[in-house]
Amino acid sequence: MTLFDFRFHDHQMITSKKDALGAEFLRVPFRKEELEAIIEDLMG
Amino acid sequence: MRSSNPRDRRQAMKRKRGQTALDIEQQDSSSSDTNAVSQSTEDDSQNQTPTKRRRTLPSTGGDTVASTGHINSVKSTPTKATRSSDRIRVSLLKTPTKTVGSLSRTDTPTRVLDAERSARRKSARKLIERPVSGVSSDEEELEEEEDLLAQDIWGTAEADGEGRANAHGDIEEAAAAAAAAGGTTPTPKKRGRPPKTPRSKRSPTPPHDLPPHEQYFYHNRPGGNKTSNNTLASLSLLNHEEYFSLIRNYVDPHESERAFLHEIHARSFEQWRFELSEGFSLCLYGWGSKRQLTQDFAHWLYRQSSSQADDSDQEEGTGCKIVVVNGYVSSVSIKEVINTVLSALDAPNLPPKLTGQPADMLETLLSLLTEHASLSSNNNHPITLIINSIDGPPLRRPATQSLLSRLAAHKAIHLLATADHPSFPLLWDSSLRESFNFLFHDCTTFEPYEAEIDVVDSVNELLGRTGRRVGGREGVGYVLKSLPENARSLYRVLVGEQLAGMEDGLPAAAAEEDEETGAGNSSADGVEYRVLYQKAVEEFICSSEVAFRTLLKEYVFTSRHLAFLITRLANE
Repeated sequence: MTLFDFRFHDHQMITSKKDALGAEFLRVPFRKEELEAIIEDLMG
Repeated sequence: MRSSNPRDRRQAMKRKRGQTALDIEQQDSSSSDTNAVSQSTEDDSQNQTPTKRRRTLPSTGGDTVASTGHINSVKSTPTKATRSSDRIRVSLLKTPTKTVGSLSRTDTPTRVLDAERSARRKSARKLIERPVSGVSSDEEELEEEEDLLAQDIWGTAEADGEGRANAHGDIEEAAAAAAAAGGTTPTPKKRGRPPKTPRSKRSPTPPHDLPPHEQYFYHNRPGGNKTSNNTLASLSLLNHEEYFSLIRNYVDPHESERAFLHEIHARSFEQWRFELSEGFSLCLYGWGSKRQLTQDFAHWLYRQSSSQADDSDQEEGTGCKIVVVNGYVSSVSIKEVINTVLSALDAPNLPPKLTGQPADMLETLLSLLTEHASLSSNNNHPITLIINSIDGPPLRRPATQSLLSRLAAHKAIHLLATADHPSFPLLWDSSLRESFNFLFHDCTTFEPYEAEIDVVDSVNELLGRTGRRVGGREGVGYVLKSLPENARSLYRVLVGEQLAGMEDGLPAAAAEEDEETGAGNSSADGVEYRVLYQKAVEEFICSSEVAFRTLLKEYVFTSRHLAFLITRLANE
């Protein structure tokens, strides 16, 4: 049993934002350390 | 002891006995005139008038003799301190006496500091230069004397401050500190490193006897750096298991006191009921969550009214109607409030819901209320409206507050509100206050704001939404594992590009910004759509734009679809 109900939250794996000139930017909303860890996981 | 040089000690002893100028002259076999003059001025300098001293200060002698003179004339005090440690020990125990003219009133702390600094620099230069350049035997004694003086200046820089403090009773603690700080790196001596003297203790006595302008600067000096080195970055983060175990074992030491306080507040329930019945609205303020209190009040009120109803004849609605609004919930709105109050009115021929502009809805509601109040023979069933956190973020708009005030002004509505924000009175101007007709009660409960504050959300906001409860990267890993190979490759490419972009001189803070708040930075932070597409094509991940978009959508939909499973897995 968990203390918080996680069920109904989106998982932000990727976000899309339009900026300044209308160009679309895709972003992975994690910190630098976490990004590096993700890449490590994906490599091996 | 600053130096164990026997000659030094001998000199020091001699000086102590007051044979200064004479001795030095005797030792200096090849003393020049200027040297002798300056040596004599050195002793006179104690009794010198300030002007004389100043004249000797800016001497920029290039040769060693002049610089010696410079040092000697400026540093009357080092000679005092260079008398042996005995002298200093004695002077430490002596009651401090002020020697006249020892420090002139124009000898400001900064000037002395500068003088000391230049003396140290010059002596350091000499200490270095002489071994390098070679010594001629003629001047050896003179130079040894200078050498010792220089060593003393360096070595006694710290003791100097101390000696001065205790000998004269007027210390510039800044000077002492600066001297101590400046003299920390002793230059390599001819005969080995000087023993590191202990730093002088800062005298706690603030400098008195400063000229008034210096006093001003001393009083208005900037404080030390108040930023602590204890940063949050040095903390290790708490993970879920640790948190849960800690929270389970936590026993609140103030449980009983809080319960007692709650009981005290509960004694006012009768008073509150009376005040409500007289047409006032109540506002409970004070530190701590008042949710439990209002809940108890609602229960109490209901029990009271049902027991009253038992006495009188049975009517359609036994007990009063109570509507509770939780203003801290982010989805609450005035429309919802109006509709809920409407539903509490069980009169016939009511529409189930009102629609339209909130103002119109309110008009309708008020007219219905008036109708209902006039219809029922017994007017003793007003609707009690309890608004928890009337100053909650969703309710803070002035339009909302004015509608609430009109609702509260209706005689069929009894309003009990609680406020959490310390500036809650700013919500209402005098006209709103008039409509509300508030009575304020201090209901400090010290209860934690468990319901009002969603901890996880606010922490996520603080940390910039790192992976929002996917458990961070673990959830991402699970999602990716369930996806085909090219989806994984694309994600890898995306993350790689983003990392590369981040390392190209962007602050790490940019990555931590919330997507919504990072208006300026988020553009640079992500990867441009076109760029990513090109890369994907290059690496044979996808061949068309449609396929590309499909892959991107996978991340969003798959993650949502797997949400429940992932969090369960992550929490195990």
